[in-house]
Amino acid sequence: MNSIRTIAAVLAVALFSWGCAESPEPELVVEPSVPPLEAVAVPLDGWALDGEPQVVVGDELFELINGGAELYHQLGFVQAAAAEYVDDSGRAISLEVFEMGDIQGAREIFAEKSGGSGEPLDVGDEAAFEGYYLNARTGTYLITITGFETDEETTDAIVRLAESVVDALGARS
Amino acid sequence: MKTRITRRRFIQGSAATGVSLTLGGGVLGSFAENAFAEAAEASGVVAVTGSDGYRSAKAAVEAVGGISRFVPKGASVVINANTAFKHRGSIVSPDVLLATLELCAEAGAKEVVLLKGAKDGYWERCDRAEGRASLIAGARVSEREYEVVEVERGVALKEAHVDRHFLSADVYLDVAIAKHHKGCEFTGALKNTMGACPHDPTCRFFHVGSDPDPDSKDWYPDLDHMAQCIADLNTLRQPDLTILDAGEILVTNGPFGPGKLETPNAVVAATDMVAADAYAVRYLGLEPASVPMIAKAEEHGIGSSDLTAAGVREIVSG
Repeated sequence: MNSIRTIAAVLAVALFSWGCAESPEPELVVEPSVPPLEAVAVPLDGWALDGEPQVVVGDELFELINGGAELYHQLGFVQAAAAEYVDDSGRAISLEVFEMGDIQGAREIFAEKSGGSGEPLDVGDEAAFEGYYLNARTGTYLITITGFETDEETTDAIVRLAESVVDALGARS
Repeated sequence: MKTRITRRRFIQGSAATGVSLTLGGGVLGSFAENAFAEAAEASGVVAVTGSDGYRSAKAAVEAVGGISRFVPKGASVVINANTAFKHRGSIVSPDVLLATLELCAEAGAKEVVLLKGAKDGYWERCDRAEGRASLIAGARVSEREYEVVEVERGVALKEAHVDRHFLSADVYLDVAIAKHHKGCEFTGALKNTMGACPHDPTCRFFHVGSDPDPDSKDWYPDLDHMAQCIADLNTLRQPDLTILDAGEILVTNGPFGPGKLETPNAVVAATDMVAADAYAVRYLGLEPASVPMIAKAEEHGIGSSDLTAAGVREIVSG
């Protein structure tokens, strides 16, 4: 129910933004765009969404990642969406898409989260895979995908999911 | 079958701060018999190393005096377990929390309240949880109603919104994880107390103070202030028992992760939350003196980072 309220609130903000599109006053505040909900609900062959994706805006990020939200806010966080995927064997991976206020903020959060290490991947504008997780950036979005296992099936799914999410976000813009 | 732990298996002197024990496979049954209660009386901090967090948690609590020392029959218990995240190494293992719930039940607690619920999928990562559904369901998650309290001894924090269960329960168990924190470098027992408070206004005050720069996006503008607030908050109430999970922990990108992981495979139990943190910073390669909240908590008299005085026992669980 909370996620439904959240999604409704985000849509309301988006509609409000459209309504203000012809305002003569320049708007300096970055308003949330339509949330990247569809990007965290992309199909992933062999895996299924586990539960409803969650969308959070602004300070609601604390509901999603508690004290971890500070760093994202520091770098211009706008909104995020999260989802879980599971396969028939019980493997699970988590997906988070963070929209930052500008590309610089997204670059900085990518640099922070990837730590300059990991295996570079040709996914989005920049991506790195490290052991059990992947960070990728496309435009103003940071994509973080985390596995709870490190087997081949999981790591393969993480990379495929990252590619699908990048495509979905690209298709939106 | 129970295996007795004999005094002959008591190995002394490998740790500068205390004593060490090596235990075999039947460790839990033996602990249940208080096999070395005599030694336990002297130790304020017990660290059990082993690959099974459930067994290590039970062994650590037993070695620090046994759950009945902390949870009287019929007591209401509030557990502040760090389960707010979902990435590996960022939350208390469900095995450790399950062990804690079982111990409370064994002690005859009349009510157990968890300050925070767990993320979806949390208990699915614990094979033992499948047969403990009623026990887990019986631990009620706080409805998060806050009381505004004056922090009489607060230096920076004068007032706090605090979960009413944190204040009213007969027994408070601090069940934290030792891990990296982007701001504080380390988070453990002391910082975990922030879990009793809402983000806004109390935790937010920790981050930005009372007079934040409206143009600043820096959430850690004054780490000294944050450390002081954490110490101040802990003057309200100290845990009757601290259980610190250091099984698999984030050593970068904390508190949320994902990030680099280390597996100390340890669980620390302590009567003194400051000593627990002072001991556990080693898992992050830190010294207690490099974590300001420890010194500030010590200045408040919340506990001591003097591990020699506390008495540390290190146990290797087979």
